Amino acid sequence: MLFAKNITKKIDGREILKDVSLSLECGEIVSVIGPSGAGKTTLLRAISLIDFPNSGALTIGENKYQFPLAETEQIKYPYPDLTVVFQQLFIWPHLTIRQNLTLPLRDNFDEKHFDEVTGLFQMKNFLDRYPNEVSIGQRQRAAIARALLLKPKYLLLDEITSALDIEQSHLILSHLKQIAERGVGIVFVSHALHFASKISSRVIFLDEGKVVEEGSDDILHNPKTERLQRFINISHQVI
Amino acid sequence: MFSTITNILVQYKEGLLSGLLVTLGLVAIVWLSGLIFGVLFGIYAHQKKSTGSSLKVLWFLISSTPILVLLFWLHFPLQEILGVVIRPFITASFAFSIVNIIFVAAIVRDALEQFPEQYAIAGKVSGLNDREIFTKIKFPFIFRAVIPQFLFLQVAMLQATIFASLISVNEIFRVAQQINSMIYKPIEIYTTLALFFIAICLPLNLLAYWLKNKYTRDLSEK
Repeated sequence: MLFAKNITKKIDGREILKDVSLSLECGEIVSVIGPSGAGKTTLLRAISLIDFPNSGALTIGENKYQFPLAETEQIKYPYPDLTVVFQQLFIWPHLTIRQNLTLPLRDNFDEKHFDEVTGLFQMKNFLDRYPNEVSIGQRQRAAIARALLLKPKYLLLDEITSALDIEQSHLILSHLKQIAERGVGIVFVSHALHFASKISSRVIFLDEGKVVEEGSDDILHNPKTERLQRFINISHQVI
Repeated sequence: MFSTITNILVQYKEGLLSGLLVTLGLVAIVWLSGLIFGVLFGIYAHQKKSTGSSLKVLWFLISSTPILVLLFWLHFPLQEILGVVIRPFITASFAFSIVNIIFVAAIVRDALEQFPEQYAIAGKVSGLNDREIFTKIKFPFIFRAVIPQFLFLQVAMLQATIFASLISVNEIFRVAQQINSMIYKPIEIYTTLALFFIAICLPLNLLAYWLKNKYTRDLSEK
């Protein structure tokens, strides 16, 4: 289980996250939605320990972290049991897609699993190309495949559909459901409500660094707060 | 002309060889100091802001000063001010090494500063350790950025060593001048000298060009 309690994060003296709590079971998909600047990416970076929270507590599987850390504390990172796919992907540009996928595997290369994942994401025909020789959608699939090949227990996804068209997004989201069914806990950060409502078991609405509303995907149809209602209305108008 | 060149090479082989050895010794010192201290200085300048600022100042100073002026200043006024006499070879080694170290450090620091740190974070969250991130991601990325510039600079430093003749270092250019003053065969002698520099510089230039084409492939995403 991944559990974040009262996470606070300040950047340049400004409080970006204010006492945010979140829990994620294996096999569950939790969507974090909210407008730009709500703190979604900051939350994801904090719970993945890329940027340490200023205060709060984190439990990732067996590992427990209390913030602020003690000065002498040696942190044990949870990677790759927990891994992240970033909005900007960060596919290593000097390596082919195949090398990008296999580099983190070291000696744990499992050919069957590799074939399965690359087959799932229809990657076979561009595995030996460099990232700048493939489309954004193909890079996006490569980034998710790179994470999945690590057999993570928790997968954090930051706006991964932002650069994709509807068809590509649909393809990836349907794969995410299959991945969750295999027991992987997924945090899906997005501002796209329609995707969140399709795949999530729970939804967290974040605004100005605070959890405004939380619940099943039903909150996207029957919001309790005026703020979420306004966000949904605006989203529908845009779509 | 070919037979005259051969005759000169045979007749003055000892002098030419000693000049060649002096040039190669000088350039070896300059290249090694650039490679070792330049790279270390560049890394340190990247890590420590105050050292980075000092490097910037030094880079501006050195790149604004002709190498010959620096060499003469170290050889004449500085030694007079300090009241010491230093062997011209040591002065030349010092002057060229300083220039090379600062230029190499600037290349290394710039490459390190341009490295997108997010690629390292992507490695970290994929479970790679610091050593793997450095050897598999950071180093290849930076090596590609640095190596062509580094090789072109080293060729330029080799060519600059002929200035050492002007402070009486008996390197190959000075030896060639001395032979020419005795037998006056400028075409043959300076052609031989040109061939020597081409023999060393051309492969280095070709290597730099090849590496540039091989490794500086456009990595930008379309």
